Amino acid sequence: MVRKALVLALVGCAAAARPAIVTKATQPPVAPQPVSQALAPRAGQLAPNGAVLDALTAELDRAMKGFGGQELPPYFITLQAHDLRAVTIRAQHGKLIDRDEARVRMMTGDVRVGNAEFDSTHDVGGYGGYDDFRALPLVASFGRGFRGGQLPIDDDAGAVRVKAWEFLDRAVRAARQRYAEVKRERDFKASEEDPSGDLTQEKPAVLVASQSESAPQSANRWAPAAERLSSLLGSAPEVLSADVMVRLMSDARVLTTSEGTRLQTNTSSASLALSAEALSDDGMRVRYVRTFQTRSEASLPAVEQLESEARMLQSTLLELRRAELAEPYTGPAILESRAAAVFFHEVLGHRLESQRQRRDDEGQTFAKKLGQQVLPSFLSLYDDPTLVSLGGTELAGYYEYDDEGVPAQRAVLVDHGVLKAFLMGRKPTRGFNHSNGHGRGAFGMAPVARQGNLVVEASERVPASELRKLLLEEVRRQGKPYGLRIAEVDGGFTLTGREMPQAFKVRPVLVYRVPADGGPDVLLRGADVVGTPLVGLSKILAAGDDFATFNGVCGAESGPVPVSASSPSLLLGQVEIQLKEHEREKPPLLAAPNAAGGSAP
Amino acid sequence: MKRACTLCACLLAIGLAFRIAPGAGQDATSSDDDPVLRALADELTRSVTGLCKQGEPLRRASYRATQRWWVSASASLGALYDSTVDRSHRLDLDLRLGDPKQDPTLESGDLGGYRGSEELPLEPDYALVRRLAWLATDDAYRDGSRSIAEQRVQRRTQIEASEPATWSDEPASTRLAPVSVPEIEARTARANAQLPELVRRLSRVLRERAEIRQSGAVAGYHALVRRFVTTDGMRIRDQSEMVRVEVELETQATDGSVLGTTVTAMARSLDGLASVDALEQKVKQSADALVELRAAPVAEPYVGPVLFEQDAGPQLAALVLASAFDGTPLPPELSRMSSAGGAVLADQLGQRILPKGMKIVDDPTLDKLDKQELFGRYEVDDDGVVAQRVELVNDGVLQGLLMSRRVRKQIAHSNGHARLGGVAPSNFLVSSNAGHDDKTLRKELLSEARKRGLSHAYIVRQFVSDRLGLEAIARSGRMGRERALPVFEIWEIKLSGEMRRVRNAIVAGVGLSRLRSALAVGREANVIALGSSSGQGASIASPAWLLGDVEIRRLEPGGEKPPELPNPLRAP
Repeated sequence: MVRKALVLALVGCAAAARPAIVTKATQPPVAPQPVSQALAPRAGQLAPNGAVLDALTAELDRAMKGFGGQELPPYFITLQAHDLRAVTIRAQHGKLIDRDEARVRMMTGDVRVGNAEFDSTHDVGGYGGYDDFRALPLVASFGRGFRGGQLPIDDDAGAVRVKAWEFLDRAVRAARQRYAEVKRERDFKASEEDPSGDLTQEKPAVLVASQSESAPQSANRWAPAAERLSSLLGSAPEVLSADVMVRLMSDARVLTTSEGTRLQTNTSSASLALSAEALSDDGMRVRYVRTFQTRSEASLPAVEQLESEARMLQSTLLELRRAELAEPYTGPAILESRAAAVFFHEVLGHRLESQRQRRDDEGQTFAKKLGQQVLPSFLSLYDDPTLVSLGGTELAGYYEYDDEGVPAQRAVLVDHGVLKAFLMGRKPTRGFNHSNGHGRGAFGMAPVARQGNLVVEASERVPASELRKLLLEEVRRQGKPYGLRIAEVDGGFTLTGREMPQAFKVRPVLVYRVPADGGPDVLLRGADVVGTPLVGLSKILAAGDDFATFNGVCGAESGPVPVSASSPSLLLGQVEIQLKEHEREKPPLLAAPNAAGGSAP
Repeated sequence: MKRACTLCACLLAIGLAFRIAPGAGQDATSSDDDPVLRALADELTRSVTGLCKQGEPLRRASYRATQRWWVSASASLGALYDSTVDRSHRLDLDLRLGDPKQDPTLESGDLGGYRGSEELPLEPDYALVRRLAWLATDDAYRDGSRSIAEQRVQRRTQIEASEPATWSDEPASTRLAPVSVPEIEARTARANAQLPELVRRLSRVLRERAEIRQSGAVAGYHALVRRFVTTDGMRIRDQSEMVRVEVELETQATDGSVLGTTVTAMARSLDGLASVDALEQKVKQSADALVELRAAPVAEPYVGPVLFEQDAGPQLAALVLASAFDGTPLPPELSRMSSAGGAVLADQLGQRILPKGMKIVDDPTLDKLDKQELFGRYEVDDDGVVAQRVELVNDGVLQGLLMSRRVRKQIAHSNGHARLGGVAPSNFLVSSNAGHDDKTLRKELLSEARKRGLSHAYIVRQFVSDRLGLEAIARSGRMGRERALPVFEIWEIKLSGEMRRVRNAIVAGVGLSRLRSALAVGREANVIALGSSSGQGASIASPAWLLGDVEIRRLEPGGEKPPELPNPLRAP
């Protein structure tokens, strides 16, 4: 049975901003054309700190030559290594509870036998879909969703080459076997609806940045801040758990292909999560998390600002704890900008990923809607991984080259409501024979088309007060006692396959009832927004003049990748609310101990 | 349902006694100086008193806080793959609720009561330790109450087990070993500086060995500080350290058979580890032996006498005997199934289970056997019970079992062997007062072969080591089930005494019953060390074993073809 839920999680960063003021990368921007931005190492020449890139390239070249004269030679090889360093610190109720440093260098790759029109990665169905790694476009798989292995962290070219040699030998064997299987399967199947090939042709890219030597070093600086913030979060007796986690990461990546792509890039990221939990009187566990995700530690908010966030989080949590329980509902609602961004990520973004247009087990909701109106004409949608920030907010989905070595490019998906394109990796789909730099995957997972920085733009916008007025008008028109205002979400998921219902869920944290009589908004708890994509998109009535970004981590068949989604607030004529799980848990049997040795009063 | 809580007053008194009346034999250090111990004791007292008023009586409770520092490093071909230094602090708690005669956890196969686990602050902090203990206790108490209610319903339809398990009463004890965290941290830092270079050097030895197709070295340093507080009046703090190094080597014979071995070294401190030069030498010798083994003939199927000498003596004891002495009663559902055995040895107390003259003791109080270092020493077990020497077998007759606090009708008390989440050996020492020297054993072997009309016999010197970890031994099942054991070093010996090494052999069908009818045993004991991922160790000492009618099976050659392209380190 094919089941996949595409999940967006880890709540995002800074809130409301002004409309799309776009900042481009300060690093050399990514051009849509083949690039040659730095020194291209010739055979035998070491790039600065390029021992790993050179070693992998040498072994890749040797494999292409060595297997070249044999039956079923590989026609395409990629080798990629990530040197990952991470420091994680975690504090709870004012004290450090974990401090972890890790460094690992991992190798992954793709080896293909056949040709670009039909190769060993061809999806012939019948393998169980995403639940079976063989259906994924990869061949060098030594386990479910894992391709490759560990490399030494010492820059020892000989040891790296031995590992690459072992990897390629097994990968070539696996690709040959897989090629025989897919050829056999093809002979037993009716012809495919989408006759596209298996690998787009792209010009090689070369970018060899100086290899970063520095690991995240400043965890020590964050330890006292994490302790202080968790102490603030947990200062109210009603707060059962108060956690702060800081994670600083760096990734020095090298990628080499048999087509001549040579990349050596450095990226870093920082995230800080404030999290607190309390129990409502009726036993519902109420949790509120704020995550700040940036491209570097320096971009994290100042500690003073975080302290203020922690106080606000605690006070909102205590309010939520006492809030009214939501009831099942269908009717008009405002999705404030970050909630609207998650709505678009789940409802439309995932359904515009190219692999979902050709696989037989996919819903193919938009496969044949190119050139058709799929959104109101005042809305446009694009995905641009080259954006560093938007309206002053750093975007988590920024990258220069995707995980297939293709330069990231802006993809205009919907223009004034009309569907124009899909998110493309190197798997072609009908009418699209080039990647637009969206082939992404977590380490060890075969890249597929994924979102990066998804941006919704509205050509007609109304101020927030006007949007609220429109909401009340719609509420009254539909004869509803109230509408909803969904102000904050912590993620969502969607199902895109055929076997399960084509549905989505957005998980709000802050939902307000907006009474039809214009009375004050009332905070609710325990509500989830659910729906189906085509109906959901058809109910958009208006957009606000605000704009905000949700930074998060998206989980799909190629693993978790950082993404952002940005949108103005939206008025929807209809949303459906379903109740969240309600544990009805009693509070602890004994009162909390106090520091003096007895019980808290 | 509320119940009268007659135990509360007494538990409260015990709880208070933590602070005012430490038990006999205590260290001069007071728990009041130790914020973690003090927080655990205070919260235990409060929880027991308070929860007694709630519903199910809380009979006993214990807290164990474990601070752990560890360093690990791995390398292959002289290049470092991983170098990690880490630490953690964790609380494990165990609650006993309800009627002591009908403790559902003792019948469910769960060795503990209602358990919980919680991360504690890395630096001791009285207030937060108490808070986290409070929440973990609350969770465990609720789970326990719910489970007891379910069990009561189930009991109405079940016939009670013939031997219900019991949680034993043990005397209160106080042992507060002095602990210096700065010193531990200094040693951790030293390990972090030394182990990466050590694994680089040991793995570099194999870089130029073309025949060794896979190899790697791993080293780990563990330091543990444990604190126990229980309602039985135990108040304990202990400390231990362990260093372990493993070098794995693998080669492939021309018939495709993959042959591998592991060089292992253990020590109680960095200084106690063998020198790098000595370890390098050992790795080189193992590589030579492994390469030589490629050319050896494949063993032929055989049934007849086999001599298990050198490491194979204690390895056989570890693989077949050591787990058989687990005295924990099996839960009824397993014991009814019990082809797996399940503490069947308990029914044989007082009966002969090994040849006359044989003796087995398990002694966690020993540091050394003669001059040989032992790795199973500890002060208290994982239940907080003081480690005790146990005589398991005397003159071939079963005398005792290894017990945690989950006891059985024949043995009412723990003997301090709760380890690794169950029961495990410590220093497991097998000996015989009727042992023979090596020459006599070999003569006996050939004589037995001759009697059976065989042209040769076999001598096993080393089993494949991947099953020889303490965790694997502890979880391998009881009662010496007959098992198939892959062999690394095995020699065919002709009746003339001529010997040749063979490969691809598996020893089949060796269980406790086979050891009971051993034809002879050796005089001198060999000792092997067993490690675990948690930093706990054990040692097994045993003489050689001569067994009759042992089945040797042949592991059929074959496997993946070697890589098609030459190794890049040796490519032209």
